[in-house]
Amino acid sequence: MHNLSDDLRRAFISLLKSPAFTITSVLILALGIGANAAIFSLVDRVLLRSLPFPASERLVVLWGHNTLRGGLTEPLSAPDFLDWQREAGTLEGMAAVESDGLNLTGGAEPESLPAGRVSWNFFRVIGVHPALGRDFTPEEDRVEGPRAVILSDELWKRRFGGDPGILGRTIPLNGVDTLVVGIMPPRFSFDHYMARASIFLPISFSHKQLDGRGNHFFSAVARLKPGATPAQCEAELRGIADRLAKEHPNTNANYTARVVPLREELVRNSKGTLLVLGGAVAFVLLIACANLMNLMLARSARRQRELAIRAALGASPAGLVWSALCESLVLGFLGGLAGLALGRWILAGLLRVLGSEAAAIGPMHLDARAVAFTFILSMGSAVAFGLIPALKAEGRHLADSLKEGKGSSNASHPRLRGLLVATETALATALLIGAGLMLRSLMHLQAVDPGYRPDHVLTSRITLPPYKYGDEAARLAFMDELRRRLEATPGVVAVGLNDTSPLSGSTSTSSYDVGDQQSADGQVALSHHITPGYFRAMGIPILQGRDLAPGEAGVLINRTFALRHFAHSNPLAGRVSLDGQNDPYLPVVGVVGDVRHHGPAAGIMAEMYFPVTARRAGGESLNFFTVVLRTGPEPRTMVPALRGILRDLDPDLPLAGTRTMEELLSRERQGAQIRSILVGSFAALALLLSGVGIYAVISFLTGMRTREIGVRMALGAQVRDVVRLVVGQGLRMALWGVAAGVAISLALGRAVDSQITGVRSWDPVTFTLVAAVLALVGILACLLPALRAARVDPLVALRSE
Amino acid sequence: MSPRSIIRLEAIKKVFTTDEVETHALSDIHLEIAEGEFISIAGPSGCGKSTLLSILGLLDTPTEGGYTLNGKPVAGLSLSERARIRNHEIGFIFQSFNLIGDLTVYENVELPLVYRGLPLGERRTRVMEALEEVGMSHRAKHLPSQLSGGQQQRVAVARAVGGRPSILLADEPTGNLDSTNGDAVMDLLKDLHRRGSTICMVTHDARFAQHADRTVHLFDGRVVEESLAKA
Ligand SMILES: Nc1ncnc2c1ncn2[C@@H]1O[C@H](COP(=O)(O)OP(=O)(O)OP(=O)(O)O)[C@@H](O)[C@H]1O
Ligand SMILES: [Mg+2]
Repeated sequence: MHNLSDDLRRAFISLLKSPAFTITSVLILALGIGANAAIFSLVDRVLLRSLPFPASERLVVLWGHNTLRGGLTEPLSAPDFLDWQREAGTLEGMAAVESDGLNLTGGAEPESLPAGRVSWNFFRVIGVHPALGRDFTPEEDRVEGPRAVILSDELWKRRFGGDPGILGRTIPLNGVDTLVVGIMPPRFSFDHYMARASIFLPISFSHKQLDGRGNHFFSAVARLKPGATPAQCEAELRGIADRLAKEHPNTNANYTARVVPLREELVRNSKGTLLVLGGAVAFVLLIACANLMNLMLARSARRQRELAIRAALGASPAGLVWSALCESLVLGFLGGLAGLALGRWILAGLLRVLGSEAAAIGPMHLDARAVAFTFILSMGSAVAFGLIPALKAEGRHLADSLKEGKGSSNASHPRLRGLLVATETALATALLIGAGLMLRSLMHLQAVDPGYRPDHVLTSRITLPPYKYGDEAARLAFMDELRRRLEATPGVVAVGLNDTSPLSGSTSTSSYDVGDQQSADGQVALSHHITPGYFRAMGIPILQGRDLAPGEAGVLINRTFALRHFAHSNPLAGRVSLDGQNDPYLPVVGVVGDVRHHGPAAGIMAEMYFPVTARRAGGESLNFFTVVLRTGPEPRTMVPALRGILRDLDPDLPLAGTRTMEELLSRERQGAQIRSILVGSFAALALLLSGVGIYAVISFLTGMRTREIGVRMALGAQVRDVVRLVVGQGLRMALWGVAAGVAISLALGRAVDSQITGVRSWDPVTFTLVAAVLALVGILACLLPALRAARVDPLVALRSE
Repeated sequence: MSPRSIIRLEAIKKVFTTDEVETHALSDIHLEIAEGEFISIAGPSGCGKSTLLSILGLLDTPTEGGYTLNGKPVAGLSLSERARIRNHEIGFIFQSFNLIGDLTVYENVELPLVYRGLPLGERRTRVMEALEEVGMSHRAKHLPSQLSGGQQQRVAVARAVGGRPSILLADEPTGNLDSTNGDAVMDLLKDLHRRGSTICMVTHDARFAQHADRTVHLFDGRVVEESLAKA
């Protein structure tokens, strides 16, 4: 009976005797393994691990869904929510969620806090209790109820020094003293719906909200009863929605429900990217394994004579395979160790590239699961790919290798090696095409016209708290004064306010009416409320007509809106109302250029620009807006002036989200940029590995052909003939691989499609360039062995073998 | 009138230096080979036969001395010039056949003609002629591994003559063959000689050496004797 540890030790010693082979193999394996370990950590964390909530598989998100408007999900309205809550039998609990922002005053500097508004039972539904204190009571969730707030652990520690005595005390939020009832546990977040919220307040539906069935403004999270499925729940809610549609056809026609598991909702954005990355590193590993197998083939060819002698001396074939297996295991273990070291390093790089996106995932390192994954993968790869050469060696007629001169050409396995090279090249081609497409997509995003001139534009959000600016006249007076003062500031070229400016994170989609028969039934457009000067500040061209005059009651529309309704008439003779019943019709005074409101990758929508004095959809008051400044100097340099003016006007008002338009745009492109960088680096790694692979195989095969090359030279082959011979062999293998890689890419087109915009997944330019790059790498990799071959002394032909 | 001289060696010397040991493989060799001559080089192992042949075949350069091939001195030629001359003027026949395993019989014979840049049609005629000459045309599509040693050497002969070289150089062409096959290859060479080929053959088998017009005996890198055939 074999003693395993003895065998492993012998394998280790045998590997130590060929350090070049061992080091190369371990390094190659480590490259493939390290990349996989790093990506596994991400995938594990984001896709595989369960959410940090108890029985999270029962958590779902509830959406509305207008069947007339295509596949878009929509927020809920308060009356619908309450009806669903009352009637749904498949749900254990259901809570509304909305993101908000409040000003914490009373300190040295007012601070604008990202906040979450939630139903009182929200924390019970998701199953997370405050670490200190309690959650909300139903009374606190009423407009006229007592004011309560729960703090995030981060805010508690930063602002209140982690003092538990804060519980039961009040803090001024938007000028209202609010009772601190609880502190959440560290790292609690519900970022998808309440980005970076540092305080949580009851959602407290207003009377207006409770009356407005058409007023859709929040999301809902719910917990299924044990045993209920999302599909059952959706069917039940659709039943309820259908009944509501009949009862309230004005607001609820075509409005139905959609139920999505929370995890699916949370990972939707990153899933595609992570799967593509996972595919990319799997390809890298396969390429590494092909290289490994090739190295092992070379080693077994070199040791063929030794193995034959051992076999002749009585070693059993199984014994020889077993010792090869032991070597593979040791190699795999060493590869795993090195891969782990490399993986940590790659993960650190990944996190740096991911930046803020990674911060949302939380702190990360290669944990026990990743370590286990790494070693299983590494040793598995080494054994799987080491065993083939071992079995090949065993299956050969060993007697042949003892014969003088015979067998060496069999041992070189040119076909198997050719297949390895072609496989590596195919995988590298597919990866490179993927990276190329993402790069092209990024270039497209950079080239796409956002519809405005992003240079020299500074934007900042201001929220007017209702306790101070409850009166519309006060709000308008504030905006007017702010605009006037900014206009007078040196360095400011133009000023405009907009409640929903591009990339500000707020949008308002409204139905509207253009006052004719075939009017805009079921159609929606983005609505903005602006001050004169906004278009000049943002750099949006006025194509027809003019800007609003101060105090004028008119409307501007964008080109798309004009084409939709005034293609055959003069748009400047048209009029637009927000809903046609309560709201007045305003005359169209101008047509402006289209703007990509949601970023360069998003489509263009119809847009309407009303004055700030006009009513907003649902009659809501305009209490938040973005200040847009076009500046002469670098926009960032204008921040202090802006802050100073605001302090003069109201020392309690903080500035939030001060960004230049260029910063906002580049953040939009960040996803595409990250994908390009990541897939690009893995593709570069793949290219390197396959280049090394082609080089190694061609070097080996050419070495085996020294005599043949000598003979050819004796027969009159010139240097170029020899170079062509060697390069031709490598290039042939590589080109088969390129062809296969193109086929793989076409087959994977759908997976890639979701990751790119503005370029087709079969983009011929990318395919051609990548094929050319691979061919070039193939030629370069063969060039060294070819030049070495050209220096073969033709005298070898005369020597008898 | 005396026949035209194909090869003229004057005071050829070849010294190998390895690890500061000098081996005088050839010393003061004078040799003239005339057109249509069949000469054999004989001598004990290590006397310098192969070295002489490799110099004649432009596979190696002499340390000293003059070499004139077809009236032109070959000293100082570039590598590619030498390759061109090998291709046009010299036909090699090796002891271990040296057919290229991946290529068919036809392709092996064609190879020197490909390197010469002959057009396809002319290559085909020449290859088939050469294979006819050695009686192997029926095996044109076979791979070398599918042939016996004697057959392989006949193909190698066809490859050597297909380019119509000025001289055939053979290093122990029968060395890897049993006597029957060896005789057959010898008969083939004699036949070629009868039809006008110039041949220089290394052998230490006296039986085969006697077929030549003239035998040059080497010992320790020097010509010790030249004997003419008794014919
Ligand atoms: N490349 C070389 N480097 C050093 N010495 C060499 C080299 N080639 C040949 N020699 C030496 O030159 C001498 C002549 O060798 P050569 O091969 O010409 O002998 P040979 O007559 O062909 O012998 P054999 O009948 O065994 O083939 C030998 O002593 C040999 O060791
Ligand atoms: Mg010899």
